[in-house]
Amino acid sequence: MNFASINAKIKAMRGNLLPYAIFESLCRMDNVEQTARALTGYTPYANVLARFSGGEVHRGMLEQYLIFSLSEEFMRIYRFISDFNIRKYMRAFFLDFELSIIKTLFCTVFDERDISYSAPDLNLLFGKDMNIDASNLISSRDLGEFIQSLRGTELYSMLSDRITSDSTLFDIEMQIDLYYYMNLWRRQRQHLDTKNRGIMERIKGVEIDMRNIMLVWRLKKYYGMDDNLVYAYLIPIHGRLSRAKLVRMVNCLSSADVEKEIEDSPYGRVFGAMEDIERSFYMEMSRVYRHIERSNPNSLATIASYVFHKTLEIRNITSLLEGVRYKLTADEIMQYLYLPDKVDSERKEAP
Amino acid sequence: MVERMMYVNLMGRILDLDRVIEKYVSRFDIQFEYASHELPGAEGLIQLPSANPYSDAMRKIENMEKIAPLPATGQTSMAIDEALMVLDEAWEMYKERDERLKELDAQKQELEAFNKALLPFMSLKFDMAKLSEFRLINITFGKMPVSNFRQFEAFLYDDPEILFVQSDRTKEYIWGLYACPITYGEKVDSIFSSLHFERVKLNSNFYGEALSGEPERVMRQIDDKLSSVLAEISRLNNMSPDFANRPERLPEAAAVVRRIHDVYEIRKYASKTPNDFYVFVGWMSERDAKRLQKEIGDDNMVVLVNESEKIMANSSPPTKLNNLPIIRYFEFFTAMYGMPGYGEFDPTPFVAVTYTLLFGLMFGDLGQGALIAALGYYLYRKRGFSLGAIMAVVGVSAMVFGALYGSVFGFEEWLPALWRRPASDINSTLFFAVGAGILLIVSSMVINITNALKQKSWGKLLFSPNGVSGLLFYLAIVGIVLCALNGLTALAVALGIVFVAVPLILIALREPLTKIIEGRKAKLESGPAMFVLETIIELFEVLLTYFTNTVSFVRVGAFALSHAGMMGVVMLLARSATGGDRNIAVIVMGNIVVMALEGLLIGIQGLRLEFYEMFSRFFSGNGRAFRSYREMK
Repeated sequence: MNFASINAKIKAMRGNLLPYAIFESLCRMDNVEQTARALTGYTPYANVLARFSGGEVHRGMLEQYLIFSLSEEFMRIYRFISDFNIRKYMRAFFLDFELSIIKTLFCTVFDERDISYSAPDLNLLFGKDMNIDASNLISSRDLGEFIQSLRGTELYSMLSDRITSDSTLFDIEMQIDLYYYMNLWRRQRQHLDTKNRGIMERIKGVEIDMRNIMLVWRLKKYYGMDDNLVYAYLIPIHGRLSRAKLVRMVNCLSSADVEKEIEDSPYGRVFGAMEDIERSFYMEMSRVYRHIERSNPNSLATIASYVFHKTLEIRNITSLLEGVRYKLTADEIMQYLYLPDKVDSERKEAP
Repeated sequence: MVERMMYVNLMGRILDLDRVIEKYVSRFDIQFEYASHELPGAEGLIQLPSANPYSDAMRKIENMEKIAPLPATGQTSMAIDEALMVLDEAWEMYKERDERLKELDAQKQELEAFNKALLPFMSLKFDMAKLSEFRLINITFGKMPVSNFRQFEAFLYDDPEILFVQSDRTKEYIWGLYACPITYGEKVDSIFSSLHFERVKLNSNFYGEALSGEPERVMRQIDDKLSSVLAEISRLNNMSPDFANRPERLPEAAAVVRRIHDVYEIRKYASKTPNDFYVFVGWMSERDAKRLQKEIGDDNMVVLVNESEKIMANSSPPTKLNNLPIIRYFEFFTAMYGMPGYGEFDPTPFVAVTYTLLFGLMFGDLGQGALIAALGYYLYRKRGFSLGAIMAVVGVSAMVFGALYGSVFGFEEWLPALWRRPASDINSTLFFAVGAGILLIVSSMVINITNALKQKSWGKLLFSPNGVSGLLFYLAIVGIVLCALNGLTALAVALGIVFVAVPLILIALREPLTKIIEGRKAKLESGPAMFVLETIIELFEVLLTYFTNTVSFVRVGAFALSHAGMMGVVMLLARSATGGDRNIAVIVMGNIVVMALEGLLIGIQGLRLEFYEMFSRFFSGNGRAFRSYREMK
């Protein structure tokens, strides 16, 4: 497939990503309502936030609906892809997003969180790929019911035998992640040509490596989890990080030992002193996406990179809204945002 | 026809009860009523207990007969106690066999479960018995999801303490076994259970016999065992060797027990008086009652009192329909609407004739009618569908009308029409249909009038919309229309004044008039204004009903036309496909579609006409069906 036309479109869409300066100005807003109104001024959010016009703006709801802007963006790209195989692969790629909504809904089963998704909203998203009746999903009141309402999907067969009444939310989320990556790897093999498969395996390999590292480190540091149990949460795919290395990390007795192993791994430089690993993760991902995108201009990388950066932007806006809601100062808020173009601008200034 | 019923009282000394039941009662169809409820004057009546003391023995006989039917015997002279003893003796043998069968069944299930559990491990090649002899190595069989297996493969496959041997796999699961030194047992078990490994229990010991060899050999051993178990089960089931030498007198004993059991089944309907007499009360058809009377004759131990249905019995007489063979099939439709009350006109013959005619009129096609008749006959004979018999009858009617219309499988040109073709003159077809409808409506009104006469319900007879007034009114309107059409205006006006106005007023005032006739005081319950309002609305409805019911019959003609029309379309399609010659496949398919579609539609529409246009005029359908105690079991 020729990516020239779709990449031209992506470049146009990328123009709508919010630059660093706008985040800086948004941080200075007094309240959530004001921020939301400011956001409606930017094309990608005008539609989604329009439904709040006039009404009371609630942070939780705002966050949930921001996610829909992501879905809208994706559908615009998706419709533009003419190649049948690429389409199939992109569904698997973007499943991440739908699974994150399912995870959120799972949370509601565990605690009485308020969810303002309505069935029609969800059907818009799930309808095509997953064959899920969203209204059942929303009305489920316990874990069993919830899993039953996923019946007919691949996810169902995976969750139904592995989740028991004493499964924790963490177990479920990990199972869903596992499903996502294994499905993605299968689709990659099925639908992509050698070049694009190589590209996507490189990108997603880095993502999986870092996720596994972060997971092991956290489980050791905060939960002191027995190494026997850790394996069930790891994603059995690897990039540059060898399996033996990961097993060594799992076998470490303390988190300090794990840190030593990380330092010694290809990702030692990325995580540094393990101070803000979440930021390290996103920054590295962003770097990898852009690097690969630049070196492979006529490939899937452009689309994938855009989707990643868009997702990151939504995440940043969500953090920002949270900061505004809790009356943090602009500087404090900026610390919680992972803005890749800040790094760029600093780099440009440096020499 | 509703059969005439008689109310029967049968009395005698309680000691004589068994003999009477056996000799007389058991051979007749009777609907028993509860004596204590029926005879309010008679104090101290006790219903005999409904539990049958011989039901246990009877169950044993039935169970034994499942293996081999007992030969019939004429001798029944054995005493009941002895019969029970003989029966128990035989039962002991039966029970032994029964228990053995249960045991075998348990073994069979266990073997099958084991078989199923072992199946995924067939590709493994080592001795099962030797595996269980390891002292320092733990071996666990089971399955795990593929995704978890991937995790295991990625991180633990090279672990020197774990050996995983894979056997079968499906899209979702991988079967296999893992082995580890016993000192690591706990750790490895926890790893595998976190990876959702499900254990499969394979005990190599089966009823004291060790199973050894590779899984494949074990499987053969299991199969051998299973087939020997199955062989024994079927031997016990078929040959029943224990019964080869069963007590000689068992058939006689069984016959005796069965006889007494049956007597007790009837005894429960009897009531006991304080001075040890029994009473049966119930309904019998008049014919049966007369026959019973004759049989009892001068048996002076029994008193039979037959009373006609007009006695003061608390229960109303049940309805037993008795119709001629072909007409009897249509009782299905009557019962669908409701059982005629006793003393009400049984509409079955009426339905039989009118429904058959209506169906034929609407579905006139010689070929398709024959097919429907054949299908109906098949369904009725082989499958026992009561609707099938009706289909057969109406199918024949459709054939007759098909000949009259000259239509075979939609070919209009093959046969000459013996009467007329519906589509040749559409107006007269529709007029004919309405005319037939008027005839049917009038005849249902006449039936209603006869019913009212029979029931001596004068109000209904004279003033109801379906009574004499209604009939006069309806005929007058029909007359006026006919006169007006033929230009006899003066006569029409005269008819209008006499036969329209007067009956209409009578119908409007039917409630107070009925009360006056019945000798009650006519009082307006809700005031004059309300009465006038209600009367006007009701009258309007009555008038509308006459009109719509009549027009409703247009459908009879319309369906006759639509049949020709639809078949015309089929013929057109058959031609257009080939451009000249008719396409046989299209004609066959078209015939099937039209036949199914129209058959269903016309069947339902015909029934609708019956129920709505006719039954509603004369039939209440609030009777209760006669049910002999023999059907109650």
